[in-house]
Amino acid sequence: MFGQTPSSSRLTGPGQPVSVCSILPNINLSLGLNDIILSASLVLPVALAAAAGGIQRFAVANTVARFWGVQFPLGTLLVNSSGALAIGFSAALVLAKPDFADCGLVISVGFLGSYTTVSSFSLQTVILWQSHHYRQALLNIGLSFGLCLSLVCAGFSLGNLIW
Amino acid sequence: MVRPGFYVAVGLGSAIGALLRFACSLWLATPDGSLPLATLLVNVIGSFWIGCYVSLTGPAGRWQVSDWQKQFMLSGVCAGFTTFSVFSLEFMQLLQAGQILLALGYVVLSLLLWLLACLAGLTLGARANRLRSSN
Repeated sequence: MFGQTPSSSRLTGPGQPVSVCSILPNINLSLGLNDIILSASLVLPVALAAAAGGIQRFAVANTVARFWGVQFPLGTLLVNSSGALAIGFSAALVLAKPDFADCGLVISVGFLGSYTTVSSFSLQTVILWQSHHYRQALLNIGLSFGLCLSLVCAGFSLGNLIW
Repeated sequence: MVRPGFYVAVGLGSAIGALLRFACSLWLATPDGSLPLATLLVNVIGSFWIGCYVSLTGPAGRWQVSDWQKQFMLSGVCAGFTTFSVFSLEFMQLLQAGQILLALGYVVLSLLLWLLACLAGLTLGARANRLRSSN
C-alpha cells in the first residue's frame, strides 16, 4: 500500500515501466515515468511534513524526559506507539477513500515516518544493555514491538469502523 | 538544556532524513506481499550511523561537534531517516496478505539487524577514536 512503496499502488499509472537511464539501456529501474513526476511533486510536502513530525517527536521526547527522567527511554516508546496507531488509522482512511492517497502518503511517509524512529530505539536499547540494565533493555524491546505491532492493527480496525 | 535553536536543527535534519528515506523507498520498491527491503535497509543504515556518530562525537571522540550539530544529526537526520511506524504498517500488511511467516521473519530479522548494526557502529566508532590516541 502507500506506506511502503508508492510505485506499487498509488503511483502505478497507465505508463509501463520506462528505463530512465537511456545511457544504460540494459538497466531497467522499474520506475515508471509517471512515478517519477508524481514523486517529484511530493518532495516539498513530504519534506515539510517530515520537519513537523521531527519537531513533534522532539517536543514529546523532551516533555517525557523532563517528567520521567532519562533512565528508561519512555519518550521514544510513546512516540513510536502513538505513531503506529496513527499510521494504521491513516492506512484505513486511504483504503476507504482512495482520493486521499497523496495526502495519506505525505502523512505516513512524511509526518509519521519522521515522527517515529528506529535509530534512537536501537541506540537506547544497546546502551541499556551495555550499562548492564539487561531487564530494562529487554523490557524496551518487548514493549516497543508489542505496543507498536498491536497498535497499528488497532488503528487500522478503528479507522475501518469510522470511515 | 533544550534551546529553541534545537527545534530548527531537528526540523531541518528530519526533513533531509525523510527525503533520503523517500528516495530509498522509490529506488528499492518491492511488490506488495514481499519483504520490504527499502525500510529494512533504511533502518539498518540509520542504526549503524547513529552508533558511529555517537562514538565519534563522544567525550573521547575524534569529532568535536556543537550541541546543535549533534541534535541535527541524532534527533534530526537519523531519527527522520529511520521509521518505526512504516515498519509496523508493513508488518500488518504482510499479515493481511496472508504472509504470516514472512511477517514474523521481517520482525525478527529487523530487530536483530537493527541492534547488531547499532552495536557495530558504536564499536567501529570507538576503534576509530583509539586510532588517533595511539598516534
